[in-house]
Amino acid sequence: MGDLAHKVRLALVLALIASATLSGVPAVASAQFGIASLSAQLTSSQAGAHADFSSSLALDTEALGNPVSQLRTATFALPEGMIGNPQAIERCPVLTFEELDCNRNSQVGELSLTAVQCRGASLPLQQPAEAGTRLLVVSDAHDFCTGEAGSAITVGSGASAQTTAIATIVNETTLELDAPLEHSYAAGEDVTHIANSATEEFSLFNIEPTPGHVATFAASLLLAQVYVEVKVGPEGRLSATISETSTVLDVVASTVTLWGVPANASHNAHRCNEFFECAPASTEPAAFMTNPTSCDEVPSEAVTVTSWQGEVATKTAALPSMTGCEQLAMSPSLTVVPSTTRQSSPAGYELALRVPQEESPYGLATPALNSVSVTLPRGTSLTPGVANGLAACETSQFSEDACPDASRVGSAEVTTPLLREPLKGSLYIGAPTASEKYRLFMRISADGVALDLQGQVQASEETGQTTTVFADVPQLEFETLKVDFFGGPSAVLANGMACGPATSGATMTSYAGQVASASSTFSIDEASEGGACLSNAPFAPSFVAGTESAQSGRSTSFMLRIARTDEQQDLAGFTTHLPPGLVGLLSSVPLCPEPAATDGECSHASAVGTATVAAGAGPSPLYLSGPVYLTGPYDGAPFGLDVVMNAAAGPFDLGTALVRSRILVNPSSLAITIASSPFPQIMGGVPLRLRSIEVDLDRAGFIVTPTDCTPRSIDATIQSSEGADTEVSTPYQVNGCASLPFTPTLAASTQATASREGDGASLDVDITKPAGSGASIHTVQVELPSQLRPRLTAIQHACLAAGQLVSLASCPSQSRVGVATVTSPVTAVPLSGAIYLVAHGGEALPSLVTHLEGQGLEVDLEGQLGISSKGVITTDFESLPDAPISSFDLTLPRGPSSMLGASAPLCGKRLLLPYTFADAAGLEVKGRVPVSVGGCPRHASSARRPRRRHGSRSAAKDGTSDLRKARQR
Amino acid sequence: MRRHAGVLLMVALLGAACPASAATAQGTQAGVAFVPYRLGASTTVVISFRLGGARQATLSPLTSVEMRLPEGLSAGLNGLGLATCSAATLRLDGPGGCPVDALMGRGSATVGVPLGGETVTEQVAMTIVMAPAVQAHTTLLFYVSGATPVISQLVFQGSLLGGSPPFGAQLNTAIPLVTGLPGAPDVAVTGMRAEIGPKDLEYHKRVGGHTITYSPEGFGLPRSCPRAGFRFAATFKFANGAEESTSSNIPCPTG
Repeated sequence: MGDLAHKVRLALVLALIASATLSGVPAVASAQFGIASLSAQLTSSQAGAHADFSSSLALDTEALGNPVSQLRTATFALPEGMIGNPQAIERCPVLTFEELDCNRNSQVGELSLTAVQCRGASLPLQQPAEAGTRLLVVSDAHDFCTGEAGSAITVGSGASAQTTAIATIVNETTLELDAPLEHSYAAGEDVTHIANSATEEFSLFNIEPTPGHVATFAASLLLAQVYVEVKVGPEGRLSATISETSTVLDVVASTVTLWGVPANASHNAHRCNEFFECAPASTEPAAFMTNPTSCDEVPSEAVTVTSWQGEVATKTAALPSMTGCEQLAMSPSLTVVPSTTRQSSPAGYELALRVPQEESPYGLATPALNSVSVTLPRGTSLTPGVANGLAACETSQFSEDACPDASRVGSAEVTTPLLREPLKGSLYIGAPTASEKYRLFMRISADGVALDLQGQVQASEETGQTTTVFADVPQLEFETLKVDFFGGPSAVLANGMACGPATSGATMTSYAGQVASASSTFSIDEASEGGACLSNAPFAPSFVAGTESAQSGRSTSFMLRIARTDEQQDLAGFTTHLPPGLVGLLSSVPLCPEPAATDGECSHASAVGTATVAAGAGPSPLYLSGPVYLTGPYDGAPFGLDVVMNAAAGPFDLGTALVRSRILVNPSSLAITIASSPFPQIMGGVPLRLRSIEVDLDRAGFIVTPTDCTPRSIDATIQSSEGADTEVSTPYQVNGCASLPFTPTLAASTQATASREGDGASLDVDITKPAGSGASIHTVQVELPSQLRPRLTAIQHACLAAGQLVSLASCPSQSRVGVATVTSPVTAVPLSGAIYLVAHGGEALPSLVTHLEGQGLEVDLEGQLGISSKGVITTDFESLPDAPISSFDLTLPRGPSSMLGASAPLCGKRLLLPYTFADAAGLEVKGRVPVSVGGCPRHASSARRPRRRHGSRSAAKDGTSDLRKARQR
Repeated sequence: MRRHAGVLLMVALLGAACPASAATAQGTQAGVAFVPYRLGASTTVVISFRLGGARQATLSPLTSVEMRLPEGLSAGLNGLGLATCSAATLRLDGPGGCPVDALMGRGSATVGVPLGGETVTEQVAMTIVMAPAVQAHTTLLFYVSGATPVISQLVFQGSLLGGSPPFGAQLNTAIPLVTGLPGAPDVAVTGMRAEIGPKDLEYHKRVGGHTITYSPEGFGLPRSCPRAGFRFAATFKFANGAEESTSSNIPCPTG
């Protein structure tokens, strides 16, 4: 452009400004502020190409051609995926720009402004104007302009209207025309000037960006500067804002043009400085603007304008869809590095995704990533321990950049050509939603630019393997995307148990449709406690169990602790065998019925304690607790335990874990076995990695200690998740047995209607004991009165035991020789059942087996028959269960199958039944009670005054009885 | 534990009745005696046996005893067993349920009741009654009953048959197998002493509208004694098929 043109442009700019300044009369807004037109153009629709982009905007004007309101700001939201790389173009320092001395290499495009030169005006004639006159009288002559640009006016209307030019403004009210009027005009007829505007183009320079912006472009209008500030929206969309437009300009239209390759020679004619001096670039061409890389969407631009009067208007313009996406290519790589390569240890994980960018100015850019999915090695999983002190960031908090520190679980870093510095920020745990349990919020920022990304961690419900997904990633050029999950005791992730290579994989999908994969491998090569990696993890959990009180015969609480170290196999279940005598008083607890037990919805009334588990690898596992309920029958066992644990950890609710256990009761010793069902190993995709289990049965009055002080043990078999079993044991012994009171009593009776043959004779024996106190009866020996003898006919029908086992269910009915009832606080109902005469072939003397049932419990008591050399028949119960009982009633009735017969008429005879009780400590209580014979004539009754029972411990203490005989066994 | 007190007592009693006894190769002893032992007079025949220790150890119960009585002993019962009693009556009511005139004699038996690992020896009383004839043979019922240590009752049958020289009548006694404790050996009779005859018997009869008590006559001894004495023999059969026999002579009475 020549010097003349230069001067013309300069004059035009000055005229634009001067006229606007001088006109100074705000127009009466009869129309609304708005955008009349918007158009966007690309010089190429090739996806990823570096084409020139231009956006043209025209504002609505009123009838006289004036803008409705003066433009204050115009914000251009560039099409999604359209990006610019200001780093590739030389930047002009702000001071240099202000000195109008920017290097031409820093020019990135042009700004075209169209502004009103002379505002439109319409005033009525104040006085009639005769044909031939050159003077017009109006109310304010300064509403009109003179000169080439704005002097044209129209006088009158219709057919007589005359258009001419103003020669000069004579005074405040008088205009002088270039030519005389051809018609006469009455006062009041309009003198009208339609606004005329001029367009001028200005160079846009890439200057140092103002804070908060990725780029700032600026154009100088000599007396005013126009700044175009570019920033990245939260969604990654670029927006360019022309702000604070000078009020000296009545802008009615503008065009912003950003060049794809600024140094391209095609722009030489437009590469001009503030003094309109144009020249070629003196630098190597570099790509600046890049087309979107998605061919699926119709790119669009949205413009929002505001006026100084506060009005806002928006308009959208579509661009042609991109084409040629298939020509784009990407070759990403993945690096996954854990902070430690120890087995089963909490670990930080650094995930780095690198996407090399194609930077050739005349090539096609690397397509933007649409989604990234990184699957960590099998074994690496979320760890429950992360929930310790963890909070979740609500979506609203994330939007406001107000995520709590407690929700921060990592850091993130993104490198993009848009910015000189990497975007850095944090990774937060997002509050779970119904569809996404583990959400990740990533907020990264740099230079005032902030980007929000939302991702999620998908955890396999079966294996716990995690896949981190970021979908709908902003269409920005990411060179690297690095995510660093914190390590340490509360790390989000934990390494797996398996030694050797651990491979992560990533799948990336571009907006252009390309799908690429990458992988990264590290090696688990060290044991969790240090040393060589353990290919076969050991399993040697610790086991402690016992009661709070070691005092015999006391109500107490029971505790059980199982724990393992990190390097061991996970806990999966246990079966524990309690020593005889350590029992629960079932009568004190309402059993949780079905279906509540199956549903894990037992009422508090059935609670007998609490269970606590520690879950997760590392030194800071997560502790979860829940109540333990006593249930009715479960899985073939008469009773069960329900452990209901709400696995709510921090912000996560992994669900409710219900672990049921069977309570088996040994029918001979009443010893309790608790067998758990398999523990859940994974919940909500989070492997629990159970570290310890604590069970406390502490309901008041439920657990009672043994009354047998024999050293015993609490044994258990603990199962691992790998199928290993280990046997463990802890010693258990109570004390104070010798000081327990022991005061059982016995009464016996029979009926006078007794015979040798026929229905034989009956015998009732009632043993009573103060309920729930004192030592349990360990052994009982009773001796049949000589008048009552077993019958061969009964012996012939005894139930034959096979070896040590007898199947009472298959015993002949004739072998049922009696019934028994036991009342005990152990059960809510008395135990009762039949007494069987059991033969052991030629191996042993027959025995009386009492099979008691009640409340689902089955108890077998066996008394051995004996015959002394004098033919005395005795029955010995040699090892009765150590359980509190209040009564034991035994009846051998008359009948065809009666076990007993009377060797002689009973009335008038003195029948005595000697007995001996002993507790576990060896204290014996001996006596002989008369057997009362019912039904005898009064004078022949055998009832005698009972002989004094002797041998009570209390009597021994005060020395009032010398008959007491204690025998330590 | 085994108890032999009963057996020893029985042997003592046999001795008092001038018995003749013989032993089998297995030690089983059998004997016959007459009480009183006066030629040509009515007598009570005392038959006894005791299984040898070796035999008892086998725990195989005795199933029958065939006792061949001396020749010359009157085959008729001479007013003994004027009434009969059935086995059912005995089982239900015991000997008390039988007519007194059915009573043939008394005795005792030793029974081994295996109970588990030991056999309880029980000394039981025995009552012998006349039963209705079976196949025209004189039939006796043996009722044994014990109470210590186990109440037991057993009824078995004997037949008095004609004999052939050198023996006279033959008493065949079938001892049924009596089960004891299931899985254990059967109850076994290991010894017996049976007195068949008028000794200690009191029969009743109506004379002149009154019931009088008298002693029946029973067996009659011949007036002369064979030179070698009265010969008898016994055969014992056991459940396992074993069989033992013995024979001997009862010396003629002296004086």
